[in-house]
Amino acid sequence: MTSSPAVVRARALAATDALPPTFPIGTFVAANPLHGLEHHTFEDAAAVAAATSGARSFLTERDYRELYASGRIGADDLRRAVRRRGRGSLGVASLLDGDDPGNVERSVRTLSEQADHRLGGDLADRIDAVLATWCAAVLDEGQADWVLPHRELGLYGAWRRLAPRDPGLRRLVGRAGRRRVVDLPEQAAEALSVLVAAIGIPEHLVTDYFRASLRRLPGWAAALSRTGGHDAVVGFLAIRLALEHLARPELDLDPDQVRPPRGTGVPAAIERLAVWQEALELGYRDHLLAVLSDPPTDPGAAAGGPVEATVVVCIDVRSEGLRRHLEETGPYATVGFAGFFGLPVRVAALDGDPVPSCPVIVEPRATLIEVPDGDLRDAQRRQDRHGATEAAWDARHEAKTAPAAPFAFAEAAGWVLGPLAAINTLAPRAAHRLRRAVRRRAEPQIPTRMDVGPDVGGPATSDPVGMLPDEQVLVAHGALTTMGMTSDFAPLVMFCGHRSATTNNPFAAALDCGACAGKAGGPNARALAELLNRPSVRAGLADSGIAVPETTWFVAAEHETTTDTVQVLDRHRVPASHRERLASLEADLVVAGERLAVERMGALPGGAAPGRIVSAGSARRRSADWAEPVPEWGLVRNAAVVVGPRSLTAGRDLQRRVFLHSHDPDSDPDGVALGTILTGPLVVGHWISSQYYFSTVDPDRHGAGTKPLHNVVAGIGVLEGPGGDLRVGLPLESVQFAGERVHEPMRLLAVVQAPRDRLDRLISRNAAVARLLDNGWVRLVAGSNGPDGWSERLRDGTWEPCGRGSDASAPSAGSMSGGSTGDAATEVQ
Amino acid sequence: MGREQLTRMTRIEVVVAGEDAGAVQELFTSAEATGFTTVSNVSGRGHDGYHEGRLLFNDADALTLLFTVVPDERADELIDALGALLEVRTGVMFVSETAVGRPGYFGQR
Repeated sequence: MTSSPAVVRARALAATDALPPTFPIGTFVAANPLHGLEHHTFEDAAAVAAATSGARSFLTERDYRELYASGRIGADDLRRAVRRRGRGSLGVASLLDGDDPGNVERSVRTLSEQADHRLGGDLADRIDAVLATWCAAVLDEGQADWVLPHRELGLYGAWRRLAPRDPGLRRLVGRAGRRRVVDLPEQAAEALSVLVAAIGIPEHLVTDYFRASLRRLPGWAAALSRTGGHDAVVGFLAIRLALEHLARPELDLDPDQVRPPRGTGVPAAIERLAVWQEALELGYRDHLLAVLSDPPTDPGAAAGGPVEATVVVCIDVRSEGLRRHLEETGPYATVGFAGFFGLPVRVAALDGDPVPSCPVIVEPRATLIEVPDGDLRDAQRRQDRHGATEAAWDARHEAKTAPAAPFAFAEAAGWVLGPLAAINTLAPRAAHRLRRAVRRRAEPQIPTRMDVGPDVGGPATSDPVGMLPDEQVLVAHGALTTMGMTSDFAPLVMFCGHRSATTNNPFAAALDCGACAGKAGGPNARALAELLNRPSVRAGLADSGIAVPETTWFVAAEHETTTDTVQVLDRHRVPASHRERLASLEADLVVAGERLAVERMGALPGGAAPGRIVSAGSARRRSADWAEPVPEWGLVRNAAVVVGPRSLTAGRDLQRRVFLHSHDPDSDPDGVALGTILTGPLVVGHWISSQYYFSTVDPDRHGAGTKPLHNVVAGIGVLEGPGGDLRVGLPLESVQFAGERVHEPMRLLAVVQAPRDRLDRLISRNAAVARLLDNGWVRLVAGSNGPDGWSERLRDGTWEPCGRGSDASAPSAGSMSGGSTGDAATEVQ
Repeated sequence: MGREQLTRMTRIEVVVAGEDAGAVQELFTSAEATGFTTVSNVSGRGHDGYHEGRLLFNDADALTLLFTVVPDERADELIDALGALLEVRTGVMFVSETAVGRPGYFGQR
């Protein structure tokens, strides 16, 4: 039976679940590369990933045994893991001394792969090379100087027109095969339908065959799916199947090698690794619970009492360090909240286009724009200079790339660019200051504000600029209730987004705010502060029971995580009554930032080299150095999210490994705010955790390769070297250094201070959250330090006591650091 | 207007996760459906449990209801295509007879 083009097209759409969620490199967002397999248990997904692409989902058994030898995995952890996850005769002795079964063999193959497997050769690789070239050409976003002819026809349409003249195709399929391209149907879906029949793919295996085909070049296929919609995916598959068919491998398709194993149980090799992984995670779980239940190491910071200011920061693990050090410096309260501050919006900078600035799982509902906030003549002058600067940059780009022009450019500008390159290399901080001074001279800064919409009335359009007055109150109310700030407002409340600052780093966005779609969080902080300072919004909040005192002022700021400096935004809008208090807070943020920078520097490669003075200045040098592969460690070693009041975590060093979301269970008896946290920030945390996890356990398939070999291509991603697939995931330098693993891959552990029956009720009403927990993608511990203690929710929905006082005795809080001696990961603490 | 003056057509309703709503819309469009209706953030109980409708910070996991009306002669192909998608994606499809007063609006040639 031949599938119709409509059905083949639907199967192509369905097969995209084999692709990792990806985003343009300029707005890199962490995601679970196995997101499409989350309806399986973690172990089943690992088996499918191994069978279909050869990908690993765990460390190697050798890695785990080294962690056991180092003490990071304790004997008791391993025994408990065997009891929980062990099957059949699998025991501790077998894990420690038995033969390492290695990874599961890949068993799913396309026709070209079957030909290579059975007859030898590299047909599949050669097909990939041809197809990758076409993908790069059609996806180019302005980087290439020559635009692909017929690009408007899409990937398949352009290929069909031009392929008969493609020398790469001639080498692959010969002249005769190349001529047969024109015989293919004009429409990609029709061609795909014909090719499915020609190759002989059984109807019930078409989706599996498409998945296997997409997995050959997951980076390019995912980029096509994202930018060109499903038409582009259909085109990709049509070309790949056409190349396989035209290359005429001398064998028939073996259907048994197309179907992934189903219903055969989890392979023994994966069962073993799953037990080891469980042991690794149980050790950290007990360590964290011990830290939370032990008395704080800084009782002053955890004392509570009246505060001078409240600082609301992103839940990002890097904010934990800033909060800890700030609370040490003075009477400040800190709050953790998703860094988009509850605003599902696009934002447009003064000279920019609107871009989403909220988690990728949230659909933006309004557009906020940055507007001049002062003398419009200054704004016009700046705008004119901005246009001139842009023109100068365009001219420089043209001079570098146009044929023959580089020679003249080198003659004309070499005398100044040569010394600048030397300064960039030898004195990066001086070069950075010089660039900043030139930029400020060229484009003077002017006061601006975020336009959040009218105070009253306003047009009702489908995509308004700003928000309508009712929406403003609704958004402000949602943000305050979810972060648990509904009373006892401090005189000064700072919303502090975060950003990174690195030089010559294609993966810069991976260090920015994941909750803001891989961008800086400052605009959202500015917008929320603007909203909450509005009398009309405050009046609306008062109607719903939230009384913001007239004496409270909201201010925005941005934490630069590469240097740990905090910049106040919209300073010109702060009233005189609050400037002294703000100056005092800023001074303490400087102290806190320098302490945090010094703490971080000791963990960075070369940061604590013998004879080197560790200082906050080292962080600024890394930020400015165009040859620095590790400007900061980002979210490396992230391990858990704690949802609860700050009193649970204050005064405790969580080593920048924990996402912290504030939540007061007593003021949320219905669990409305907690439900929002479980379905939103928890999912984002899981995506980040998974990205680091898989980039660490299989950097070849789930990681982006090493930075020194990266070529930015088409303006959307990187290749490692001159060709091949668009790389997905994090670069090696984000998870390891000099061959030593720095990230400790663990599935996200969520510790929630809330009654278990409330969590049961919320989970039962949210199938998506239940799926993550029941299938073992996220681990959940709930309870409190009170008499009932903590319990872990098992996959069958029951709760098992854990931590202090449970049957399984927890180690002391210090054992994690001491136990990891010899592990490279201990360098990052 | 009496019922006998209406034109018989096929109504197709689909409930899928928000992240799959785009794929369903694309299949509607490919089948030359002239329009469709989308209701996001729907709640209810399915075979895999209850789905809360009001997810403040997550549109991808919230369920979406989409429905379209097409002439009978174009319905089967669309039903086959949606069926192929729902073989591997979580969701349900309902097909029913309906009647419309302005068949030209719904692609009747």
